[in-house]
Amino acid sequence: MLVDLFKGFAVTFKHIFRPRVTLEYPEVKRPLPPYFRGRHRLQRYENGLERCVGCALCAAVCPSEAIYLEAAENDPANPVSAGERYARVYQIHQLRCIWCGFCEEACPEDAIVMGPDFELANYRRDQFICDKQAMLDPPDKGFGKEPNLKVNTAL
Amino acid sequence: MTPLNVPPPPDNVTVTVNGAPMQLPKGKNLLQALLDVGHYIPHYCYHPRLSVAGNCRLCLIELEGRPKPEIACNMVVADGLKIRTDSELVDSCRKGMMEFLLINHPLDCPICDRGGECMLQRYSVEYGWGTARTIDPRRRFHKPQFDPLIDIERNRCIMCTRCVRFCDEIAGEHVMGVFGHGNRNYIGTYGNGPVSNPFSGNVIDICPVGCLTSKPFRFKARVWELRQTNTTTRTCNGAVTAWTRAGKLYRVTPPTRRRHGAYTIDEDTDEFISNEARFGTHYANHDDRLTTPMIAAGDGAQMTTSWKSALEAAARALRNAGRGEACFLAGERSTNEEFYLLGRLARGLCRAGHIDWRMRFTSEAAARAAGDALRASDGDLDLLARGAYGATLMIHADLLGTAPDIALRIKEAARAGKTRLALLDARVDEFFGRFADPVYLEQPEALATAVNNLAAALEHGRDEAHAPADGAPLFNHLAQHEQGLIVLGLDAAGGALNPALVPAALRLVQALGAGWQFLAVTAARNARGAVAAGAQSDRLPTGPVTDPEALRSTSELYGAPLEAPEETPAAPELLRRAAAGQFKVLFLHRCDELVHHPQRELIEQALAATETVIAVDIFPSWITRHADIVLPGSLFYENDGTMTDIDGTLQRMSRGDRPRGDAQEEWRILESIAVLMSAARRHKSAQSIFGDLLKAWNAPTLFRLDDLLLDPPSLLPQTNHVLLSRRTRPNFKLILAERGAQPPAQAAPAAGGGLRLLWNMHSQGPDHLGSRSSEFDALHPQPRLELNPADAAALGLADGDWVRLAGGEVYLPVIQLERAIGPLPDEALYQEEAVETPA
Repeated sequence: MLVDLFKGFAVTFKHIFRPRVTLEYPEVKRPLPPYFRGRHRLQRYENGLERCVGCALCAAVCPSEAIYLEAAENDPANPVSAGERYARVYQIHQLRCIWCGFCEEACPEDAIVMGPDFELANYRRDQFICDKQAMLDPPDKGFGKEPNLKVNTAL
Repeated sequence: MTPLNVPPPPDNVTVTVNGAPMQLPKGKNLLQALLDVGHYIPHYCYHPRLSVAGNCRLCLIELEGRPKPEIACNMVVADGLKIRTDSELVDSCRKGMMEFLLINHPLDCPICDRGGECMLQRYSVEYGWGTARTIDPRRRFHKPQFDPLIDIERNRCIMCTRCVRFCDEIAGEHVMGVFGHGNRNYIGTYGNGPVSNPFSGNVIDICPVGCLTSKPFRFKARVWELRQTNTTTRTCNGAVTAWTRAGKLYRVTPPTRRRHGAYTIDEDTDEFISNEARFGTHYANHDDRLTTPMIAAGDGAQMTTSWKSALEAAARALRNAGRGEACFLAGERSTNEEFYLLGRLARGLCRAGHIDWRMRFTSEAAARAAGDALRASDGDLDLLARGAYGATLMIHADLLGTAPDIALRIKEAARAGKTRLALLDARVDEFFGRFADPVYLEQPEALATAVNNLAAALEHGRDEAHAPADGAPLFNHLAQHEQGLIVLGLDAAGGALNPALVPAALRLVQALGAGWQFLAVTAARNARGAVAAGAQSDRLPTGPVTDPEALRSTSELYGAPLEAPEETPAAPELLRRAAAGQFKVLFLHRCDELVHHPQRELIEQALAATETVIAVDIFPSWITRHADIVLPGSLFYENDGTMTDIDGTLQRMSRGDRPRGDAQEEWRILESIAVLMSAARRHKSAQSIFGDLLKAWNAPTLFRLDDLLLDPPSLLPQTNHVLLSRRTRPNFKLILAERGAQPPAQAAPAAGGGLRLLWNMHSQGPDHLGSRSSEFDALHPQPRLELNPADAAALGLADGDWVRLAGGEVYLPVIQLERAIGPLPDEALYQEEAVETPA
């Protein structure tokens, strides 16, 4: 019996001298894997135009119907996105979202990506409905490409 | 009614398709024959109703004995054909053609409104390469100013020229064309103007790619997000699909079909809808909807109230009305079920209440004549399309202006050679003029005399010797044919139908013999239903009010005792009596036609003189503001029921969304009032009311309301790639056809001297519903004056001059003299569009 007791304590003492894996969470944060699926981010081109053209494929593929989108036509003098169409309303209900990442995969414009932000707690349920302004990244964080749609040139 | 002889379908011959023998009708277009038996062949430029262009080259097939592949759309079925549609050669042809069509096609599917129902997307997946090998920059076009309702994106065009052929052949106006050359080929309109015909919206549906899209629908939603409701509108004949989300209407299209495993717009449709049905129905989204019941609160004010108190107030008022003191006016856009329930309320539950629907007509005689004409109608537009009528005579029918959907079907039959069209009218437009021969023009007052003369001549004999002196070509045209159709327009003179015209036309049908049928056409949407469902003063659902047997069977259906009324006043007389204060209760059920009625003063008097005015409506108007009880109704995709087309085809109106706010389906409102008035029978669904109507019409009672829906999913084969034939639904025709011997009427004397104005309400003119559609403004026809060239020369007027009409401050342009084919009758003016009455 005594032998068993010492065996047990041996394990305990062994771990006391090993490096710790727990972190002081709010102050210290764990490094995330590269493809972590956190809060959605909407990307922009370098010139500030939104990548999202409001095609609603993300909303179509979303298994939990967390995405609501209304498109509208761009004003050519003051465009919001790089195409004729842009997302006038873009909302993600983060309580419905199951963080599957299908929206990211479906997006033909690489506009929606899932970022590293996982601290989503809030005090009110309505604040879990994320609108476009809350998700838009600043322009230079985008993919760094110019929009490939040029203004009509020929003929 | 003797059944007509219909030309038999062609004999079947054996065609070997991919080694398997198949029976296909001889002489038919090979591509269409294969599509009809469910053997799908991809195609873009081929359309069953358009001429063969053969420029997309996607329907290439291999034909035994030919060294090169052939296009199926340009071949006819012949005995012993041996074709292959699945060989390697065919496969590589399709791949090659797809790659070729996609060379300049932009990859903007995420932006394109066609995405999700695009044949280019579909065929790319099924027959294409999957990747692009082109490295050169894609061709780009400037975006032109085009049409207020149609958006054009020329970069996406694959030059199938369906739209060009549609405008040329079906809409009847050479307005679109192919411009440029070679790689710079593009489609457009001459002068970059709008696609100016009443069917222009159909080019959106028949465009197989995203080149022509709807401007009102532009970027509003994706098609897969919307709920489709197969229904019919309250304004136009024929079925439509309403695309809605959360109660909001996004677009209206021809009925969708199950194609490629999903319900989608059938771009090979032959059920073209008019712009009025497509864009004029956007009133559904107007904010002005009545959503809560209201009752008068004294001093002309109204306050909202609960359904319970509003219905109880209505039932109380009706119960307190004495004998013959309740008057029900049923709007012509009500469903058959609503007409039936209104008839039951008026006749069965109020003591000898009056009911009628013919408010459109301004005189009692005209209303009665219209009732007679509709009751005698037995013409069938499906028979017309199948070639049963050798000849068709249209009498005083401004169909394009009043019932464009019907106009298109008649013109298409004439164009396809299924019938020979003749016209007897005061005015001829290009739409029919190109296909009509002989055309016989006459002063409007003299039309009845002309018809009577024809009938009298035909009564004497059919050989040429009996022909009247001035109408020999028309006489011969009619006399040659054993089977034919007489089409009589009831609206060509606005509400002032010449009552002598109806007996004259019926006499002509009688004189022509048993093979001839008659069709009265009016813009009143459910006129046939009103007559059949008993919403006309002299009609019960089972027969005329004078028939004791009809009274007995109807009282059984109503569950209330009925008595034969002493007199049967029509709506004009009822309005006159209401203005004289003879009624205690005036029940206005969806009376859209009263809002812009020419006799507005009379209606105002009627509203003021009646103690209780009950109005069922969906939008406020000066009438609902005068009403004591306002009951909010529902839209055409929020209501259950049936509508009757002008040729008797029943159309299903179905509920796909719940009515906005507290509004209710009309049949529920009427049924609730009946229940409060202690009706013995209770209907819990529209199906139950429809069952009553089927009993009344001696129709097969197993027939269910849902059977009228297009392509109910359970009836459909679930296989992919099945293109269903275009008429898969059971077709139930409602034909009463009571045609007694009509006494020949004396024609009105022709008026002489001066130019007279023949004005007409246009179907896209001021309208209670349509005017609330912002898209409708773009359709609104410009008022114009048409003039006989001789008169114009006498007055010194030329095309484009402006004239002021005497007695008014309205200036109108004289335009398009050349549009009139053949001369207009002397001294007649034609003004399209009445002067609007302010709401």
